[in-house]
This record gives sequence, structure tokens and C-alpha cells, in this order.
Amino acid sequence: MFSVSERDQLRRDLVNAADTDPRVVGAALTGSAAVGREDRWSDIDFALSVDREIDAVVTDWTALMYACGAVGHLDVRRGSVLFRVFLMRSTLQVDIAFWPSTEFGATGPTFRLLFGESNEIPQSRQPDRAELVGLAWLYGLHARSSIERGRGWQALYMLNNMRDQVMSLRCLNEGVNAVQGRGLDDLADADEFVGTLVLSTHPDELRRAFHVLTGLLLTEINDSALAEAVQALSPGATAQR
Amino acid sequence: MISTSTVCGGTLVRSTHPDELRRAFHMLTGLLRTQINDSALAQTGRALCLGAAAQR
Repeated sequence: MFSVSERDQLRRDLVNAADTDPRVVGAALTGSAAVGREDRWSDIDFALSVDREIDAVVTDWTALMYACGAVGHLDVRRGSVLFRVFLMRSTLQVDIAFWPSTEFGATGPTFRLLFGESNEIPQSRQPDRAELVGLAWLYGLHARSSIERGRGWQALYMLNNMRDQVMSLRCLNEGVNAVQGRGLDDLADADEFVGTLVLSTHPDELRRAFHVLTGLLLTEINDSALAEAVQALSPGATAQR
Repeated sequence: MISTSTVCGGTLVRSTHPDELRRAFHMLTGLLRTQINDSALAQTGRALCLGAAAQR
């Protein structure tokens, strides 16, 4: 397990490395550290503005991270930005975002520019309500068929995903962060979802959880035709509020 | 012989109580380690689990 002082030291080393790399023309802290909300579990989120040779910069910084104790990494791309997520031997997570300098900027309030210049760019938004509803009923359809086919683990996968969508809808309703589960513990009545936890892969237990979850989804649907179809997925399910 | 399905059943969470989440996380991390060939990465997976255990 990493210590806070180890994390702080690594962050200072990364800032120094950015400062001395001539291809890096700007850098920012992002995430909780940018707004003074770090705790002992926080990761390092670091954004680089790169004005040339971006592939070589990624290669060199990756080598640097492995020299510092990385044991693996995962890439997430959004447009032309690469988010390379490193897992350190200490279990510290370090996210380094490689931005073309022409696009470098804050996508949300957790952005603190360390040096260089940032651009005005579109802000990250909450997920789209209609898309969440659509995904919820889609996972619901496949939960039902998986249960009835006796595919317990597939059904569990569908139910877990369905719950994620329905809880995100609740987050939207209550105006808390609906991205990646960040606002779930801020919900007023998150315990309403305890009944959707699946205690075994037995069909009866899967049906029980599915029934509760379908009721919770129904509370999020305003369209009557859609509500009727969703209700038919688990007959007898009713809106929970 | 214990089936994979039985082992994975231990990763199901019965509540959101921290102890229950740690128990399931511990089992799940152990299962993840069995899928990792790289020794350094596997060791880090073990450290993840110990980090959680240390918080009990």
C-alpha cells in the first residue's frame, strides 16, 4: 500500500519531469488534488499539453513510469486525447493524460494549471437520461432471457449493469454526480437498492432481484407505453415511489 | 472438486457493509490473481487485497 508521502513525492517528480521536457508546453493537476479534496486513497491525475512528437512523448513517459515502479497500464482514448492509466507496485493509480496542445484545457472544475496555457473546451456533462433509460431496459430484456435460459452468471451480469443505469438515473434526479458511480453514496435513499443485490445465482433469487429492480426502473420512466412494456418484463412490478 | 461457479459465488455481495464488501473484494482479488501471468502485476494484486485487509 502506498503512503501519502510516497504519492506526493511521485507527483513532484512528474511535475519536474514535465517542466524539463521541451515537448511538454503545459501541465495541470486534475482530479481531487486540483481542488484540495484528496484523501489517503486518492490517485494521481496529471495532464500534459504536448506540442510535438506526441507518440514519442507517450513512449518516453511510459518508460519513466515503469522505471518508477509501474507494473501495468491501461489506455483509454477520448478523441485525440490518450489517458494512460498506470498501476504502481504500491497499488497507487497514476493517470497521465496526453493532450495535443491545441486541445489542452479543463473539462470540469477539477483542473489546476501548473504551467503553460489552456484552451476553452467543452465541459464534461452528466450522462444522457434517455440513453440511461434505454440501456436499463436493454439490460432488463437480457436479464429476463438469461434467467429463463438458466444462464445464471449472464443474468447476474445483466442485472448488475441494469442496476448501474437505474442508480445513475436516480443520481440525475437528485442532481448528484451520475458518472462512474461517483454520486451513488450521496443519494438520499440508496438503501432502496439493497433489495436488488443478488445473493445467489439460483433462478428464484435472480427473479426476485430482477423484480425489485424493474420496479425501481419504472419509477424513472415517464412515458406510459414504455412503462407498460417494462412492467411486462417482470409482471406485477410496480413503481417504487 | 469445487467448481469455478461455486468459487465465484463467494464474490457476490449480500450488503454494502464495509466488512461484506471487503470479504467479496478479497475473494475477487484472489480470483483475479489466478488470471495474471506477470509476477509483478500479480504481486500488486495481492497488495491491493492486503491494503483492504489493513483497513479492517
